[in-house]
Amino acid sequence: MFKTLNKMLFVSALLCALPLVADEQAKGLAIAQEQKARDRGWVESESELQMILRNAQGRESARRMRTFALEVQGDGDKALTIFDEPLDVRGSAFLTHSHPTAEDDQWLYLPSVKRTRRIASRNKSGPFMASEFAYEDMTSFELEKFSFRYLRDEACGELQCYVVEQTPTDTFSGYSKIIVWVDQAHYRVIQAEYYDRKASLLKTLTASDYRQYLDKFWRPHKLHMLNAQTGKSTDLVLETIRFQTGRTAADFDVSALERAR
Amino acid sequence: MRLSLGLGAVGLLCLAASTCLLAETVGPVKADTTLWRLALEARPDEHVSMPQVIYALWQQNPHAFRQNNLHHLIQGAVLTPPSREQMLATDAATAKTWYYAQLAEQPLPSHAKPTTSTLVSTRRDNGSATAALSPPPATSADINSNKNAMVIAELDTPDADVSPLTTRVSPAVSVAAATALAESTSSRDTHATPQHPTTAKGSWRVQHEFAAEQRYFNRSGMQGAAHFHSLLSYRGQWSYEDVSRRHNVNIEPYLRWHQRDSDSHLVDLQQAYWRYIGTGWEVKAGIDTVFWGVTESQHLVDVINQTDVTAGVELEAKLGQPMLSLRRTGKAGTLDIYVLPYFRERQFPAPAGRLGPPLRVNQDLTWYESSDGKHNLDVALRYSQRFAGMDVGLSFFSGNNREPLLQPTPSGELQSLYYQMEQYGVDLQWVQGEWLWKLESIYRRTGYAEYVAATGGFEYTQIGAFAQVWDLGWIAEYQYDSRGAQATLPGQNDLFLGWRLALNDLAGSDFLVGVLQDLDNKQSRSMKLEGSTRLSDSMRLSVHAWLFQTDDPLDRLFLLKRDDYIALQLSYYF
Repeated sequence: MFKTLNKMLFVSALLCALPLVADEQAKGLAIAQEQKARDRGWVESESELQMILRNAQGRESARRMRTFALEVQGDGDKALTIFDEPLDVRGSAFLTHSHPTAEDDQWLYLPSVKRTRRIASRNKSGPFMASEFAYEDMTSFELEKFSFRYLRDEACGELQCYVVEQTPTDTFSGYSKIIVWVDQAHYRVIQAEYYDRKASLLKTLTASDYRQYLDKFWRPHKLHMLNAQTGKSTDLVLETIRFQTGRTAADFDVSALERAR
Repeated sequence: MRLSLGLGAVGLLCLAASTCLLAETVGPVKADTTLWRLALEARPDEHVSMPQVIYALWQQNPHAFRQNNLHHLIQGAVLTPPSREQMLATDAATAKTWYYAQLAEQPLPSHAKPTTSTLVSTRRDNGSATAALSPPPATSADINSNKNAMVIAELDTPDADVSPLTTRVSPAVSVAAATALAESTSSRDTHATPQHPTTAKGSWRVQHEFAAEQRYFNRSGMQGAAHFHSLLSYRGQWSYEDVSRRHNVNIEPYLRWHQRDSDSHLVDLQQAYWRYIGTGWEVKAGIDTVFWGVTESQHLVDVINQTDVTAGVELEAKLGQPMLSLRRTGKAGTLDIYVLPYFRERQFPAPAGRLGPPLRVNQDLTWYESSDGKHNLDVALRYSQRFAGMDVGLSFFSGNNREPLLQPTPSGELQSLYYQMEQYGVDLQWVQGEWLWKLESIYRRTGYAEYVAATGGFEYTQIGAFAQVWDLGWIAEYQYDSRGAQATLPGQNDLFLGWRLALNDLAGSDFLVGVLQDLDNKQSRSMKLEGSTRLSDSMRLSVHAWLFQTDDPLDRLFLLKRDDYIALQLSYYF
């Protein structure tokens, strides 16, 4: 009798909790949608980046690259990255056509052999340029790549943030979940925690020095990724960013990769 | 503040709507409306550049601009977006040049504030801009006379007080303005790097690579060739692009010096061309190096350039090829047409340089089937297209065979015979998760033979191998040649197995081990080992080694039997 009552209590608790979960998911999705909507319309950009890799002992090593990006309506964005430093990889160009649901298309052009190589793109969790950023951290944010759950409101520095849990839909993602702090005023990612496949904290991302462009788009000029398991970290510094450079889809075609410079 | 936020939300809604359907009209123009926003609404897809949209909008809607001036949007005006075809009627580069010319007419606020910028209109009588294109069929007199329409937000002095309503950045105003904005924003920081995208000059990129290689052969060569060989090489790259990104010049000289063999010296231009990039097509004239194909162990379809045999047995290096080429790109794929007016003969190392034929190839005795010799006009075509995960390439070549037949002469030398050839090639690549499936196949008809050859296999990449951040690639390729033992390349019925390891470390270290096993003769195989690591930001150390094993004197590898070697190379980049 007591057992049955207990069961009933449990079931009714579940019934009450279910719509709650649905609410949290709806709110999480709504936040993500707004985040995406606020970043729509930038069309294309060109940026210069510096990456500072730091090992656990604090020894630093620098990388330099330029990235051209194209916003694509109805599909994932396209990005072309040209490496400038270290000098032995200078001129190598990495092209990504990201897709919200399908696998991304990736190519690497090697100027030494004048050859474009296709990359098996399931390599999402692999490190980008030996940094603490994985390839999947560098691709465009697409709603279809995650399921969302709103967790709570929380102060993040001087700002007030939504805390949202993102669960990758792709089983080949290196993450079991990502907890993201999004500021309530502008829907910018302020902080994120990445959990590995064993659900332990892997990395923490801190975005700072946000500046607004075209009176609308916020871009962080510094991303700091700290690996909680190895103590290594990477700073991704956005040195300059320009919009309206006049690039079109043709500049992001594979056939244009060999003229990337 | 609240007001501007509300407006922002309206702007957002407009933006969201514009992404779904093509608006029939855009506007009406409000005090804070920018041409860029209108153009965003009118833009059908990303294949149309923003300047193309803006130009067509401006042409189509003369009533919306005072005195045809791009910067004088008239408040209240409703614009009709041009059709996609109208937008594309002006090619992207021309539209961009026009757009920049327009922007150049626009004065910049001298004290641009970080989050403010110029307005819809900042000048009253600018006159028409220096447009290289036809102005809109505007009845500017009507517009001028209609003083009521001139409710343009007026701001004659840059530092005039800006009302909250008008403190919106106007992207259409100018790239320069946006840059100035970025500069003024970042001027608070120490690392502000001013960029002037609209400067009238193009840009040069220059780089150099100097390499020193030391080879060690564990046995002396057939004619007592030395154990130790030193090689020095230099590669330079000068690359120019003009401001419109349409003209492109690349010059890449390559020089090599070989300690033991003057036949292995090389002075070459790997690239020396001018390229013009149009909308959907490009043309290239000069010398270039072109790579076709997908497989790792052998390059069958790759036929444009002569192979630089003296660079090493890998046969990866090439000599620059003079050409005139035309490329057409579009939704239906990419078509390349090459006209090759001059032929580069294959150079072989003399016996003293090792890793080559047992006798010296006398280049003075070279024979051509074509009466035009090295001036024979060769032609090549390649069509390539992507279908989801599948890349397809079809190619054709007609002209001097790049691969000579070597024939001994009574004087104990070798003579190169270049027959004419026709080759049809196909290359396929299919991406499936961490698998890359590859196939290359050719049908070749040449003076002395007619045959089919193919190389096919896969590359499987294991991420996070050995519980590290390492990537381990497994490569397996089968090589077939219908000529069997008469094949001029070792891969007639061979299996290549290789492992590629990338450590993903700071030094970018990688290794490759490969074995090419002859399936007809169990004793015949070649093995290679490659590895490289970064020593500093401008220096890389690499090592490679080859082993050749065979007991069959008729095997092509037999000539290399004594040439097992290991080489260490140091490359310096500056």
